[in-house]
Amino acid sequence: MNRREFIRELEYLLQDIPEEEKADAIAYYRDYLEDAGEEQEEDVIREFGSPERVAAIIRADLRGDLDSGGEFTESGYQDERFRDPRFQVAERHRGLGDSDGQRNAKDRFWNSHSSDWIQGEEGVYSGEGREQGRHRGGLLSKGSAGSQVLKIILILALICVLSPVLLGLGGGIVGVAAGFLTLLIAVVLLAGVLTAAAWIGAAALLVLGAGMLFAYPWSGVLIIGCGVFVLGLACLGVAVSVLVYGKLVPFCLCSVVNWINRLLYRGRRDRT
Amino acid sequence: MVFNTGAALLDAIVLAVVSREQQGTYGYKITQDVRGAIDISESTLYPVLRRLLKEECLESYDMAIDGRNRRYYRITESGRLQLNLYRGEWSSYSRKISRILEEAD
Repeated sequence: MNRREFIRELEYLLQDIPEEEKADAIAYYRDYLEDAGEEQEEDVIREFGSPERVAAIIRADLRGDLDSGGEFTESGYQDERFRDPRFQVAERHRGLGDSDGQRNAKDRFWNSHSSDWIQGEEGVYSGEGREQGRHRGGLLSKGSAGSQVLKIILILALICVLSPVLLGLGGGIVGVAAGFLTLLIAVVLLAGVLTAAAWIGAAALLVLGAGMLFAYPWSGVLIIGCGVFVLGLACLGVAVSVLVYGKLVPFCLCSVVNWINRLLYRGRRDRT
Repeated sequence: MVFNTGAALLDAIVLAVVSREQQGTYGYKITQDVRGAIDISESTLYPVLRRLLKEECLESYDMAIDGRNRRYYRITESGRLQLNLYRGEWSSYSRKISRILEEAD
């Protein structure tokens, strides 16, 4: 890629930033390449990385996130976001060995990092966690048996002293919870029972009304009217039941199951 | 170089480099001069120069050279103040670090 191609590419990549910023950036990089001279041109462009990388840096600077993102190091501006495969900047853990060793280490780092890096990091992390866990266990069993006993005695004393309050509070909470639960069950049961009753009642009234229509026409009409009214109530009951059995009950079951799951899960996590 | 260069130190070096030229200097030359002290990459300085311009530590002007316009950077009065501040900070910082490193055997 020569100077002209680089600048053209950069212009293309920056076409959506403000005109003035774009002109400044393009002018800077064009100047830079011209001042570098033709024989340096190729090296400089290679060190820029790619037009995409340069454009990304310019953009990030405009957004104001250069200040927080990367850092300047002895090998240039280093930012994970602008890492370019052809541009090797990241080299955090450089030893003081000979330059050949350094280069090898660097190459290894670059060849292996993309997939293995994360795995490796996790491995290290979990290993550390296990190590710490063992350490903690050892401490508990070895050192502090006395203070452990003291702690239990203190907790028991505290429970004794606070028991009336706890009982009162606990009782109140249990009562309220039981009340809610009863209400819920009542709603669930009543919705079904009342709907069924309304259907039966409506059917009975309609049949009775039809039977009486010939003997006592007015009473028959009245009773049929009542039957139709109860039929309407029955339909309403069906709608409410669908709501209760289709939405409310599954929701409650799901919540309870989730809650128990979470308790179990947390218990398991604490134990390991 | 095994020590990282922070953004403030890079600002200080750039200001120092630019302040040496009364008539101002240009991007490529600034980069090469800074590289005399620390090893920065070719694309490092544009955001730095842009920020220093915005903070009015530097000012820029265009001058015709070889039939084209080249952008020159020159240090401003507030840039000089900033540079003096950096110089004071650096001399006490580097003195302390040097002492502690030399005392260690």
